[in-house]
Amino acid sequence: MLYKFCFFAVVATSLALKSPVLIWSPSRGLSDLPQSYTGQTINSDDFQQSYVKPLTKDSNLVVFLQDRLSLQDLNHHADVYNPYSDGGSFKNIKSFMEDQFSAQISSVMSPWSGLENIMKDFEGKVHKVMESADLNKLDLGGQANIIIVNLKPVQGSSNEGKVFSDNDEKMAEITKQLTKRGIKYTAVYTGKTATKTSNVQGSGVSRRLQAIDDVSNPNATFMNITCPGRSSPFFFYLRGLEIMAQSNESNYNNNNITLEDDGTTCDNDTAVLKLKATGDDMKFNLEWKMLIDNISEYWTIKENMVFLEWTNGSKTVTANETLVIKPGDLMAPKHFSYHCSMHKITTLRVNATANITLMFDGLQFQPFMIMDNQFSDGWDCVVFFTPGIWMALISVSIMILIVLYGLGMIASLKTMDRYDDPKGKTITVNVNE
Amino acid sequence: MAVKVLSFRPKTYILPILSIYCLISQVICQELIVTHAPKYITFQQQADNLQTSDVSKVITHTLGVPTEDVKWSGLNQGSLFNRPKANVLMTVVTAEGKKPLSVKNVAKYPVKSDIPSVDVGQMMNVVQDTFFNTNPLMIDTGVDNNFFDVHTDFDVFRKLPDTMRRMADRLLDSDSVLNQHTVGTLNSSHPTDLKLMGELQMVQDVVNTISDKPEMMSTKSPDLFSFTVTGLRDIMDKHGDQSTQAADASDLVNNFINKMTEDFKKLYKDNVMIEVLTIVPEKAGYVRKVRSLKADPTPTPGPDDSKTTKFIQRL
Repeated sequence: MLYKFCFFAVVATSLALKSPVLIWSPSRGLSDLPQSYTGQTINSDDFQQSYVKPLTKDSNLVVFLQDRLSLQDLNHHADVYNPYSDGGSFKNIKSFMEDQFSAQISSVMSPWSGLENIMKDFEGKVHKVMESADLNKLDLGGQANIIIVNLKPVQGSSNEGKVFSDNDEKMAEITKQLTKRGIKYTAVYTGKTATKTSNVQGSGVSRRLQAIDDVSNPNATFMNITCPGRSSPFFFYLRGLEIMAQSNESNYNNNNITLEDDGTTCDNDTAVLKLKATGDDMKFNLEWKMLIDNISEYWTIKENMVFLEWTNGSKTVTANETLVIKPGDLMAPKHFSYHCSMHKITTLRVNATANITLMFDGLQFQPFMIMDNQFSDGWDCVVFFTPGIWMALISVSIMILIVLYGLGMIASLKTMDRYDDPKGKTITVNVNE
Repeated sequence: MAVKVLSFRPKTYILPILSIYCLISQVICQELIVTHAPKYITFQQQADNLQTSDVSKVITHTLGVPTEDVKWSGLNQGSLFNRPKANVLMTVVTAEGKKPLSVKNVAKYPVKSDIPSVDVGQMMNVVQDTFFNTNPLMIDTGVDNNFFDVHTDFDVFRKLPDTMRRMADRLLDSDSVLNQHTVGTLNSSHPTDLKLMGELQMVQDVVNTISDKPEMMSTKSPDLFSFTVTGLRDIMDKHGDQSTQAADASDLVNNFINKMTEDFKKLYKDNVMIEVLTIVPEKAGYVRKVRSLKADPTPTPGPDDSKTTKFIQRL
């Protein structure tokens, strides 16, 4: 799978760098350039040595540089499948290709880097031009020249065909001026890249399973507590906590709580989890004492305490309560971690100062026996057989029983043969009206 | 002494000659015959062997759709501004050692088989991905047992006959392959002969369907046709390579391909590339091993033979 992905990635990136190159000249024959074949890519070095270098030797080189040019751009905008087309957005270039000496290479690996290398060692002058008007100011006499013409970028434009056709006009104008001034030149038209990014993304969205950028929840708490006297640490993870409290005087609700460790301790078979949270108007403490029951080999919470103090206006309510943990809750076999994606615990006590409800979101913790520095298998708060599953199982089994009973009845059907004696007299029944 | 040497020679030569013969026969049987290409496509005749897996890439490259590179240099890079509007690939399965098809052609290349057949589905996917907004016309037909397998997104091809029975009916029409070409000793009531005729008729019907709806060809994207003919091979297997039926079937296929080339040329006003690929399926790939409950040639003696014989004697 990975291999396949890598392969596609390589193909995709290599396609992204392959641009077509069009070369034409009104005066210089191009038959000395090597023949290129369909379906073969010319690498950057070969392009530089065998194609561009001969061109810079005896005449001026005009490089028309597009930010992006690919075969697909030609396919889409040059009307290539119509034998009688005028070239679409590439009207002038097509006529140059047909009327002048020309060479067309369908795929060159990053042609621009090859051209850049040529410019580094080039003895003559390198000019950079944006508009055709700038060309008149250039001194092109005497030595050999390379003129780089940066064309209007197509990337990001809403009407690519129009941009290509504008650029096409511009190229025609520039070459016309050069011819007018009597300058001999060879022109090269290519692109820096061949990728079509924005357009493709906009029109066809493909989906695949990818990692999201930020998995970690800012509110999530993860605590790794080292225990003296044993090698395995104590892990505690909580995605979010919501505290709701109700007293006679005021109610409190907060779901944006950042928990901190408040001196958790652990040793061989006991662990005390101590958590605290402090806010502008509240103070929260939680203490769970867990120990391993040597008979059942489960760890359970033996003592628990929750403390909440909150201020509402001028009034301050302080509650020091015990959570009601149902049997089977917040416990797990010795080697397991406890996991619950949504767990609600309350302190329901008659005559309490306040009733506190804690909503644990994504709770997982393991006080003992952590191996390989990761949570062991989770002992989930969702039971294996939920009421829904029981309902389905029972009703389906009843139906299967009924069908089986019915099948049994059908299978035991027999022809009546008790009074049928083939040798004896036939039964005659007299019927009197 | 001299006599001894002479008597030895023929034997030593047999092996290399045989192996060369085998090589040649293998190479000759499998070839890519380009029956038509537009003028702007120029071929390089002295190219190396083309591999079957490269055929689809070469086709997509000629249509201007960039895919993976091919090492084969049989096609010169022509104009980037002229591309064939359509490509027709006909794959004909033949038998080993059989003389190749003799159709009119512009170029012929030996093909080395590295995969059993051309991956047409992949080719279609590449074209579809490149021209996702223009819905290119693509169709791939072949026979799967007694059903005609037509892969296309276009509903107009749904009314083509899809079973052998319907195809047999279709062949009785006046404009069918049976009535337009000389079929010689072939008989359409014979299942193998019917299969070949049906496959050719299918191609004919595809051509007819398109020519009835010329607006289907007016898109700005390349069209792709792929037809697979396996019937020729079946006739050779059934009646023998040297039989009159095999010869007649070969003639029929040749004539049909020539006619099909003309039809497509007319349809696309010469702007179409048509190839015929003849392939010889490797025998090893298609052997079906059948198991049956047979008697062991050397029966192992039973645990107590004497008792059985006694029992038989008593009977």
